[in-house]
Amino acid sequence: MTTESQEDQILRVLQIFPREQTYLLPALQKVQEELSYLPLWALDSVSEYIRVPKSEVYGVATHYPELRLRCPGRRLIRVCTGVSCRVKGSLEVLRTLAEDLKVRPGETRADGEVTLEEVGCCFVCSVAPVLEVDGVFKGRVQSLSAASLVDDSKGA
Amino acid sequence: MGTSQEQWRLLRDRAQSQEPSGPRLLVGAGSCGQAVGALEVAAELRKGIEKLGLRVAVVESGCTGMCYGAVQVTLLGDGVPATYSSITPSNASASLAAILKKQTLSFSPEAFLWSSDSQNGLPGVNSIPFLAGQRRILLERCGLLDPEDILDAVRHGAYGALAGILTEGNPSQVIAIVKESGLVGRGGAYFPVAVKWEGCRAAPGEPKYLVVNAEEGEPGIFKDRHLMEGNPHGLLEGMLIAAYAAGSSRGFLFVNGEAKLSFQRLSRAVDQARSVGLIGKRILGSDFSFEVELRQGSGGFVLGEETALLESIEGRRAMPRVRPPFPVESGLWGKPTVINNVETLSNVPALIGQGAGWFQTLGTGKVHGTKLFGLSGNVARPGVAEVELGRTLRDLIFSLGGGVAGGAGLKAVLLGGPSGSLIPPQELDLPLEPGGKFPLGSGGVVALDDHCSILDIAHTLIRFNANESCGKCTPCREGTARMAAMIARLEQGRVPSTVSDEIENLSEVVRLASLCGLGQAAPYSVLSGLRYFPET
Repeated sequence: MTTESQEDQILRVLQIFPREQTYLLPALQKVQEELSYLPLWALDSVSEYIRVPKSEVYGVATHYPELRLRCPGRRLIRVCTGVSCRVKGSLEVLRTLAEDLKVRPGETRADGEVTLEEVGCCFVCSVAPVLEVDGVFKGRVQSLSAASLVDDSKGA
Repeated sequence: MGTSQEQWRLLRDRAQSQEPSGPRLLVGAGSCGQAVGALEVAAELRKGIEKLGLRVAVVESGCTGMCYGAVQVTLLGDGVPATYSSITPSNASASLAAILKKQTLSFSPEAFLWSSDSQNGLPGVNSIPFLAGQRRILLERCGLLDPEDILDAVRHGAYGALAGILTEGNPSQVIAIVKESGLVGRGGAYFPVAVKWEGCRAAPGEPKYLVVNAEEGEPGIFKDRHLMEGNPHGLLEGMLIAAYAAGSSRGFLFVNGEAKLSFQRLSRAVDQARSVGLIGKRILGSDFSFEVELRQGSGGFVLGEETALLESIEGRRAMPRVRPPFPVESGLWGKPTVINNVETLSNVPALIGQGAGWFQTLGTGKVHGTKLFGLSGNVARPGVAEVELGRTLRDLIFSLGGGVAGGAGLKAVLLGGPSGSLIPPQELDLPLEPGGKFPLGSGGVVALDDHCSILDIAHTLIRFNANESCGKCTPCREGTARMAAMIARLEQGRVPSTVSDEIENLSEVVRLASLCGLGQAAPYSVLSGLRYFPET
């Protein structure tokens, strides 16, 4: 079996959507699910398929905070620094993680292994402070054990 | 195909005949529970049950609202359910024998029965302070049923109100009941629900749309998630009744992009409802047809603004529209559209089932019903609580919430998230109701203890508003960013004496001139912070 090119892969997954503008956001979400971010060439594919001008696709892709135009690291760690988590010590968690993982908040480490980000709220405030590790929430996090939580889910 | 009555009877009979016979253990696996090991607890329980050779089913349920007690495990079987708090993956299998016998458990300090009486040393529900002060109607089934089984929901009474009106009611009757009840929207604007439905029904244009705003995106609130994760069929029933009343045939369920578990459980609920004829053509054999599509957001506070939500569904950036025209006249693709919040619609089945008179007994003389509040921050018992409108912050934080965690003093309460107010302790006795001194927002209550810096909190909130501003109108786009910069200067202590006045002036502009409710409410937290905490 020949390996499918990423371009063909994207064209294939877009087929589930009718070619109407209402499916622009769902299409972008689907592409990001496949590639973990939205490279510019994929925005072009979406534009052609959904039949919406590239400028508008770019506008929508850059509007929503959860859509990414840059490739994140292999591991994506997000620390909630909303009010509820903040008053329960999330800034300390963020600082510890940045030191342990050797990456600054908002950046991807040079080896592409991990991205560390702050997030405004994860909406599980009742178990603050909260971390999101590769899409999975971890609650009642202690700053001392934050790095081990990241290690535990390695390869999971 | 029979009449609606026959079809409903068949569904109910099927639900009864398939009732699980043995005991079941429900694990509180809402997003809160899952973040602290609920799935691991469920796995340990299954292992333990297998080892003992028992026939006990383990079900991943929603959260009862007692997130502080997570992970909770509830035994359903003979008699009243018993709930055990503070179960962990390491003590789960050791707790199994005691739970199955409804005995007390040393490492589960808060174990209780869902009845007024105690038994075997397990206290009744009234001796649990977090629950005793509540009036649980929307939350009643949360954590006590299998959210992934429509038959379990039917056994708990779901879809009964819908079947009733499809059998012997009509849309105007439904609108009349809701109007008489005085139900107002629970998303933050507290607009009369019946007015929207009636307006949509009367407006020319087909199809008419119903949009469920499940884009709960106000930091510090997580109550809609509890409803969707714990009792998705309650929301679907409310949605169907609303669509029937408003004359709508097409719906969108728009769920916050971060609420992945809500989305999963709702998707499953919609599929099951469709498979038993509760969604689709000729629902329960009646003339009423309704099709619904699930959509997911991708973050962004402004997406919860109802017209921005419509823009997003149409495939554009989420930016609010200028009103009028209002969505009930010209909403999705220019057609009449009702947009209701999750909590609002979840109120509808009980209201229709029990009537406007019953609903009016809840709440105050002015506003009726209950309200869900999310308790978080430095409160001893964080979670989701449902109380009658008109209760006070003191009730929520001290009676239910157990006061400030760790014995510190209470400095302030943030009510209503980034659009809300910072409230000083001397104002805790004001009744919580729409139109009161402080806007309720959608019900986020964050307790802030002595150690918190009011400036840091105000800065966090205004920075959030600035980051999340969609940029469509100048007062919000420029104003919130300038306000954030001014607060930063205050925080650094580089303050010319006039900076507070400047902030107040700019706040006034942002409040009056912003296009949507989010911009208009953005300055509240800063203004209340300056007013009530001048020393900071």
